[in-house]
Amino acid sequence: MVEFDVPEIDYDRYSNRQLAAPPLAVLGFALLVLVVYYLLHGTPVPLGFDFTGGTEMRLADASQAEIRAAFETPIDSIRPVQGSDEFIVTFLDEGSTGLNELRTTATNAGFQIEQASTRSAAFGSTNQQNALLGLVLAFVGMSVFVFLIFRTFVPSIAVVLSAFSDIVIPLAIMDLLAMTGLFEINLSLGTVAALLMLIGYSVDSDILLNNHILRRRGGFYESTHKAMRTGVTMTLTSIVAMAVMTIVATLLSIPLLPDIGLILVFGLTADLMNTYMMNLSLLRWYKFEGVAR
Amino acid sequence: MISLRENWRIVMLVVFLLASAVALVGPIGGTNPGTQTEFVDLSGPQQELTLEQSTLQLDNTTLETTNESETIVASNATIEVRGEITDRTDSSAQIFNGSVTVADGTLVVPENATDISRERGTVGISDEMLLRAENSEVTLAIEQQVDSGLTNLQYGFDLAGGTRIRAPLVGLHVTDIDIGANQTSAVNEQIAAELGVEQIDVSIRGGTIEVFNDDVNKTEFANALQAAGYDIQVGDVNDGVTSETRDQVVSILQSKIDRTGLSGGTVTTVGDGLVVVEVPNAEPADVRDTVSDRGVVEIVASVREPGSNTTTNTTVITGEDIANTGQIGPRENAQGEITGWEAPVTLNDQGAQKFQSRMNELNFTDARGIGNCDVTGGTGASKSGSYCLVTTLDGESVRYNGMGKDLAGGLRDGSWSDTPTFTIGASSAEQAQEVKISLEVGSLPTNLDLTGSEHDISYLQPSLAQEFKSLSLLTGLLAWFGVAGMVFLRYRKVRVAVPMIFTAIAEVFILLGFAAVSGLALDLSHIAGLIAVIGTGVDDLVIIADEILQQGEVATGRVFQNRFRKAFWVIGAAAVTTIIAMSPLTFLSVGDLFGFAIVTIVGVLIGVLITRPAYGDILRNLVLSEDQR
Repeated sequence: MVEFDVPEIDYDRYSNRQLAAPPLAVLGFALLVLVVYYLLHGTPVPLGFDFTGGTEMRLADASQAEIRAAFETPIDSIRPVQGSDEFIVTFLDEGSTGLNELRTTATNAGFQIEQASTRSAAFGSTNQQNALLGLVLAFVGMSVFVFLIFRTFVPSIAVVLSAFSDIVIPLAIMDLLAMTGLFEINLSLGTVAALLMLIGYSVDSDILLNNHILRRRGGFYESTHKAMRTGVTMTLTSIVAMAVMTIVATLLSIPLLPDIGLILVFGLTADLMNTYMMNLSLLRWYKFEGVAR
Repeated sequence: MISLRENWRIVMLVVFLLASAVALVGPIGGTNPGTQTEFVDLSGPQQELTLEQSTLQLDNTTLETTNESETIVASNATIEVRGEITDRTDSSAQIFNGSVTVADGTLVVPENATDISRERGTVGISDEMLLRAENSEVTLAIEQQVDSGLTNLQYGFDLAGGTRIRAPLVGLHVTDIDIGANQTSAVNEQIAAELGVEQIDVSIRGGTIEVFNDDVNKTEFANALQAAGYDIQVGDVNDGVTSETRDQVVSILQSKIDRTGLSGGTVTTVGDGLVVVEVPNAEPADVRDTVSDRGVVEIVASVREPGSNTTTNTTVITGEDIANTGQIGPRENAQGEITGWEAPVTLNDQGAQKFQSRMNELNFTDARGIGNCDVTGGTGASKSGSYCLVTTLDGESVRYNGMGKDLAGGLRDGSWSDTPTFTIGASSAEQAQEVKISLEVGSLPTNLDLTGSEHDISYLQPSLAQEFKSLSLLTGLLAWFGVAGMVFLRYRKVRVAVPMIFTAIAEVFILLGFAAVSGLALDLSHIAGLIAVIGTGVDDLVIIADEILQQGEVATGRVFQNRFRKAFWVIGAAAVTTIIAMSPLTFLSVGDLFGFAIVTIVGVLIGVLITRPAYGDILRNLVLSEDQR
């Protein structure tokens, strides 16, 4: 049987600066990626059909070349559906008449229409505004709550900063994947849901760590190790759940679930780094130097 | 001996699990989906329809087989019914120029049908029955018990398939206007005239004036109101309709959909005033027509005086004048050929009086008007002038009819209003049916805006949606196995790990029970939420387990309580964070995320209040019994 135990890290060997630098560098790089992507494409992340509007169809019995040949309407993108021989074709053209025409074209070309949607651009932009507002409200609400329960600045800001980084890093990975053209995850309603879930997941392990260090008896390193034993198990369990969901849903070609799963896998992995390097270094500084001041 | 008092948390968990099991598979009142009517058209060669466990009811419906035109051909169309045929009302089923062949079974046929072979005269089908229509189009109304599946769970668009349309309603409104008492209809008339729209496009309710017409913009509306003497600026005009109107549209649309054979369709509203229509098993085009037609039926008297070139139109019957409707049927000429279709209606007193006097005023009932409907006004017309009763559907003329002699007689001497029946003409059976349904459910005050700025039409192959349903269940199970594997690797103790993974799945089970009770329609985003609940659930159980199992024995209940409370502080804080993170989605309209947020919030609450405390008790029992050994 594979041994699984959370290793005891000898934090003594690293200074606070050494601990905090890598996560901060990654956060800085991630923000840079978002800015670059914004400058190139006008949005910080690649937006999916939910937010742009347009027409989307999932077609079977078709090949990329056949699809390109069949439609006169300009095709925005053709994505193969993982785990099947189907394709998701998107058109920027929208409107209910557009959908009917495109459906007719597809049927005439001998494609099997598995799914078809059309959404007006205005609908997309309402979604976009509300989703952004939702994220901001959720984040602000979470921050206020964290400050309320810890009532001290440094431990609270450590939690908030770590959660912020947990959200930004997956977004930057989405950008990088889109820019390299390897694999495209667009921001959809599902990924927004994943980002919101990330706020909850991320704060779990941070609160645990803060709680153990600030509120329990015992030395700093002993408390840290106890918190890590629990916290790392938690995060790894969640990563496993989400990774399984991503892989299985991809193989079975179920939409939405792989996007949600992948974002959470990225975010939770980032959370391991942020919690046990950035958050920890801030707490250590606070405990040994900040309080003394 | 384990006492119930000490383990009340476990007892509560068991109670909730049982309740959820009942909610999921038990017979609950209110969630019975009832029957639905499905209309099946069999046309074209080789159409087959197989029904299982359903009742083919031809009572109050029309079984039509006609071959009026070349497009109506159905040879080798087969309907196999494994079930029974009940209650046929002879007069309502009509078969023209078609044939129904019954082999290996029986069928009661209407008396006025021709060319029908039957083997036995009564219903009594043993195995299967074949109902065959050759060279005909067959429309059958089939009443079916809605198949609710194994559980009481309801499925949304992602997992049921079909068509979903989301769109706002056409309209503008202004509120807080002081309209004098009894002025309503005068103001209505004035504003409609200013805007150049029908009176039916303007609605006045309380201090609110609404206009339902695509062609009217805010400026025009404000100008019309100013012209009517109200101090209204463009900025005072609101987009969309009032919530009263929206509710009315939703209820009318729902009944319309129920009757048009878009079986199992639902109509709801979401924030921002969008109306959502979801119909499983329907193509977008079918649903689009239903939701974008208002179904305004009017009978217009179209009169061209002898020698005149102009036609005057007067509305003589509106939907409000009609008390009830009868069965649609064909209109035949003397040779028995079908010349059109009709929907018989009975007018109410007010409508009957109005119609009677108007017909007399407009000379329909004397020699000039009777049987003198000549739309084209060509030279060959035998009588001068033209007196037509025009059936209009959403402002479009669908059928012109002349005044019948018998009706004219009754109208003239006033005896007609004692039994005020009238037949509304239509060109086809579909049209007659549409007229009938529109009159029964009422016309929509306004329709869905499918041309405007904000709409969304989706179609998902129902078979694919069915696949998603079972595959996402599989995904969830595998994710649970993955989590279970991690937990085993970490704890190595069956007595810690097994309760943990079963408590996590119990949380999902109770959540599904909640979904069944509340009638929440499950979508893929909910499935993701459920899998996330497994994740957060196990996370919190890990916190509890680590806290309680830390070095030092849990010698007494007091130590246990103390540790449990410490663990709970973290869990509670984490739960509140998740609820805070999800709550914006419950009031912001972000597509389908409302359901996801609800599932997550309820999941967290179930976890914190029921399952996780129970796990603490389970663990205590196991640990204490271990210590005693």
